[in-house]
Amino acid sequence: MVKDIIISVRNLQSAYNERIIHQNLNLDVYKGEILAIIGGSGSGKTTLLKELILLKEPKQGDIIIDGINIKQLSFKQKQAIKNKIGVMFQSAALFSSLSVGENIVYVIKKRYNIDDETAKNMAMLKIKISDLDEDVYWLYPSELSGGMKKKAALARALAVDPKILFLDEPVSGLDPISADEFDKTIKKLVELLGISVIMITHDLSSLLIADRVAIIANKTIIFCDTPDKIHTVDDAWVKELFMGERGKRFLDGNKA
Amino acid sequence: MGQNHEFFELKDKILYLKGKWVVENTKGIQKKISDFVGFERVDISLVDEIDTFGGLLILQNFDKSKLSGKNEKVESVLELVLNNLAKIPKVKKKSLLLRFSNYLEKKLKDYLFFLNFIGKSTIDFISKISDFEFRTFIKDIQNMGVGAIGIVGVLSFLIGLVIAYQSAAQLRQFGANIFIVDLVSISIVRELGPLIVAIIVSGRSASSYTATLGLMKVQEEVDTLDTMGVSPYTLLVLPRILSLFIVMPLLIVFADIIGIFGGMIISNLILGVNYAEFLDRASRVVTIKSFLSGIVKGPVFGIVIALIGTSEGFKVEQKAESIGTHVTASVVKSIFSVIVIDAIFSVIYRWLKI
Ligand SMILES: Nc1ncnc2c1ncn2[C@@H]1O[C@H](COP(=O)(O)OP(=O)(O)OP(=O)(O)O)[C@@H](O)[C@H]1O
Ligand SMILES: [Mg+2]
Repeated sequence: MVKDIIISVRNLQSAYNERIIHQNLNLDVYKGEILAIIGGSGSGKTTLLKELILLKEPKQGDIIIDGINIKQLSFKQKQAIKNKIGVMFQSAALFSSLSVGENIVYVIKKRYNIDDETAKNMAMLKIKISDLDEDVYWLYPSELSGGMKKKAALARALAVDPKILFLDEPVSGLDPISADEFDKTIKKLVELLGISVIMITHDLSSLLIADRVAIIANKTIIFCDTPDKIHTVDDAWVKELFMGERGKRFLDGNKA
Repeated sequence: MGQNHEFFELKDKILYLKGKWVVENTKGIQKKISDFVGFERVDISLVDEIDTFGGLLILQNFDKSKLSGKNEKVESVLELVLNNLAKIPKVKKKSLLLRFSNYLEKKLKDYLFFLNFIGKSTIDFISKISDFEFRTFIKDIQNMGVGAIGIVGVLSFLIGLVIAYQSAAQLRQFGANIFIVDLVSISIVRELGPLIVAIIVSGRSASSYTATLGLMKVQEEVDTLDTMGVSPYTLLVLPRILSLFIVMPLLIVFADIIGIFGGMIISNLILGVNYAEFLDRASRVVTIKSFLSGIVKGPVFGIVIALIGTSEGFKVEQKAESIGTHVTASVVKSIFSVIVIDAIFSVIYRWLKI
C-alpha cells in the first residue's frame, strides 16, 4: 500500500542569526501516522516544529504541507494551512485570562464562524475527549495542576479537529499512569479520526504508540523508521539512550 | 420525487447524508438541516468525510435509532462523540448581597495582606539581615533617584513658573509685589515640592517595583528564594525601601531649588522683582523649620511608596492581566496614600505650631 504524504521537508537549513541549527534535513510524514521525534536537549526539535507550523521561516529548503509549498504563500493561504493544524506547545501556553472552556471556544470561533451553542458543546466534548472532568470547563489555567494543563492544552489543540496535530513533549510532567492514558488517547484519536500526529518526546514509553521514530542529531535527521529498527542506528547518543535501563525496558516492551 | 443538496438527499422516505460533514461546513449543514422532513430513516453510508463537528450535528439532530447504513468512519466518530458527550456545568449566579459581601471580604483580605506583609518584612529585616544585597540597593538608587532627576526638575520648574504667574496679577493690584517671594517659596518648600516628588516617584517607582516583583512571583522565583532559605523580603523589599528612604528627601531638595528658581524668573519678568531682592527675601522667609518640615515628609513618603509597590507585586497571580491590575492598584494606592499622609502632616504641624 502506498502511503500518502502529508508533510515533506526537503534540504532544510535553519538558523538563529548565524547559528546553524539544521543542515540538509529531510523528512516525510505520512497521513494517519504517529511520528515521534527524539533527540538531545537543544538538538533543534522545537525549532523544526516551529518551522512546520509556520512560526519560523527556514533559511533554505522546502516544506510541503498537504501538497502546498509553504514558501511565499499569501496571508490567506497561510491561514488555510494553519486551520488544518493543531499545536500543543512545550509549556501548554493556555490563555491565562480565559477559562479552559473559553480557551477552546475562542479557537473555534476565531477560525470558523460557528454559533455560540455549538462551539460551547464542542469545547465540552474536547474536554471530555482529553480525559478531563466537566468542571474543568470553568476553571482558569492558574487553577489547574501541571498535568491538567497539558490535557487542557491537548483539548485546545483538538478544538477544530486538525488534520495534523503537533505535540511538543506532551507527557513531560505527567505521572506515568496519566502519561500512558495520554498516549492511549492520542492513539485512539488517530485511529478514529484519521489525523496525523507529530510528537516530540523524551519519554521512551511514548515511542510505543509511534508508527515511526525520527532521530535528530548532528543538525539533521539521522534515522526515520519503525521503532523496532532503532537498534541499527550507529550513533553514540542513540546507543547511550537505548542501552540504559530505560532503553532496555523500551526495547523489551516493543518486542512483546 | 426527491430533494437534493450538497449534504443531503431525500429519496423514498430515506434521508441520505453525504459529502463532507466537517468543521468548515458546519454552518452550511445547520442552515439546511431543518428543511428536510418526512423521512423515516437516516442513511450515513454516503458521507465521505466526517469529524467530531459532523458527528455532533448528526447526534443532535437525528434520533440514534433512525440511523442506518454502513460507514465505518462515521460509526467510529459517532462512537467517540457519544462516549464523550457532557453538559456544561451551570455557573451559579451570585446574588447582589453575596457579591457585596465578597467585595467587602476581598477588601478586608487586601488590608490583612498588607499588614501581614509589613509584619513579615519587619521580622525578616531583623532576623535575616544577611540576605541584604548592597548591589540591589545601589542600583535602585541609580534607577529611582538619579533616573528621576530630569522629570522632577522639569515639572517643579514648571510648577514654580505657574504659581508665580497666577499670583502676579493679584499681588500687583495691592502693590504687594515683593510678597511673591513668600508665596512661591513657602508653598513650594512646605507642600508642593514634596508632593510633586512623591507623585512622580509613585508613578515611576511603585509601578516598576510591582511589575518586577510580580513577574518574579509568577515565575516562581520568589518561592525558589523562600525554599533556599533566603528571605524575599530582605532581598527584594528592603533595598527598595531604603533606596526611596534616602532618595526622596534629596529629590525634594532638588525640586525646592528648581521650583523657586522658576518662580524667581517669572517674578523678575512680570513683577520686576530682581534676583538679588528675591534671594535676599527668600533666605529670610524660608526658615530652617519650614524647609525641614517639607524634607521630613520625604522618607515617610518613600517608605510608604516602596511598601505599596512591593506588596502589590507579591499579590500578582498567574494570569496575564494580573500584573496590569496590580500595577494600576499600586500607583493609585501610592498617590492616594501620599496625599492622605500629607494632610496628616499638615494637622500635626499645625498642632506643633511649626
Ligand atoms: N529564539 C532563539 N534564539 C536563538 N537561539 C535559539 C532560539 N531558540 C532556540 N535556540 C537555539 O537553537 C537550538 C535548538 O533549540 P530547540 O529549542 O529547538 O531545542 P530542542 O531540541 O527543542 O530542545 P529541548 O529538548 O530542550 O526542548 C538550541 O541550541 C538553542 O540554543
Ligand atoms: Mg523543545
